Amino acid sequence: MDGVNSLPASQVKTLNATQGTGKPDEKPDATASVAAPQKTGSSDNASISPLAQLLSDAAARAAKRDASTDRSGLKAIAEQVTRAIHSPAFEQSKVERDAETPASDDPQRLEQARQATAFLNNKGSNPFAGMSMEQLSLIVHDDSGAFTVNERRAALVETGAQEEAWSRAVSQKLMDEYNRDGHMSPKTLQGILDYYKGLPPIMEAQLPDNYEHDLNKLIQYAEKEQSHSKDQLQSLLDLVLAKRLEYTDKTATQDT
Amino acid sequence: MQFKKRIFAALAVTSLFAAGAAHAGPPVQITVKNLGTAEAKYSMIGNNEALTNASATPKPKDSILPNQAFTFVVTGPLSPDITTAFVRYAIGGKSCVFRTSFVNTIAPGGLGGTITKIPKWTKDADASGGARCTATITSTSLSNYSWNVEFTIK
Repeated sequence: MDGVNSLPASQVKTLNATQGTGKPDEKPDATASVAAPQKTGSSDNASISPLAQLLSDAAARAAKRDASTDRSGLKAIAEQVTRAIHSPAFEQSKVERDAETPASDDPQRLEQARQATAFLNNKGSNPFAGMSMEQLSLIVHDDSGAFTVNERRAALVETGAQEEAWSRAVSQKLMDEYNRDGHMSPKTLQGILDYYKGLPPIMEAQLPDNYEHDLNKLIQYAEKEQSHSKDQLQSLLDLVLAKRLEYTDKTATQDT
Repeated sequence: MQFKKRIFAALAVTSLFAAGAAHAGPPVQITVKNLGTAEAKYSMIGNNEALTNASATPKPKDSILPNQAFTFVVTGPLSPDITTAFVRYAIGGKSCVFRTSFVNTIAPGGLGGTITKIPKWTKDADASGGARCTATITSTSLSNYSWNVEFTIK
């Protein structure tokens, strides 16, 4: 059954306007833009998809939490609420979590949870594949019971897969720049900083405290290197031009 | 303690780059792969690992899920002839300490007063607690000395 993955998740994907640009989703108004409930069916029998409704509710809870908690508080909350989906608790709870079903009799909702469990047992695809980082974060960090443990783990796996792809691409870009220009581009380093700062607050809070400081130092250094390279290029061009003028002058003198 | 190390590393990098370490050492692209069945957790012990973290971008991921990987680049702020990277990941009690370095050493007896340098890349993985760790240099550049290395933990 392609069910869940082709219905709510695909609708949610359309909300992910910035995906593929190297930046995570736009943040703050999570409740309004990230998880606005999506209607399914024709206009006269429109209904809100279960996942969209769940995300909308989770976004409201997250917004309330984020508004009343500082960065270190969010870091502590993240550690606490994700304990069940990280090692070693996750591996130790296989029987319970595989048997867990959502508190719902909605077939789509039940199918999504079943799909997440099947995925974690290597029997099918991730129902959250392709969702935005902000939507995945809502699922991962919501321990209200709205999502099953396996759904939250499946969302965590998708988060890791997207971060793996991003880290590979951005690291390769830095290396390509170094190999081509002799230094990394400040713009690419700034892009990494922007990516971090654009993460949902609870994800950003899990980064090392000094990441912004470190990256700014690397950016400043890269700017110096870039400026140095430009100066060297300018000197080379000036030299070539001077030689050319010298040669032209000599030729003109000989002709007369 | 971790915080103190990060502060030390941040200050060290600040002073090294600010001092205009005019030419940093070549960058190394590091890919850490978790081949185990539980998560690999990142940690830092000692100034070398803290300095690596401070010079890394993106930042090494705190937790890598099974069958996933994370890639980052480490630059060498010390000298154009040296870059080193120290990375530690553990799966439960199984731990891997990875090291890789580039050193450009002066060859003895250069002719006609010219200085000849010999580039050398190294990699190493120390396992403990029953971990299986590998370190593989996957490419090196003879023109600018940058290199790629892959670390695995199981």
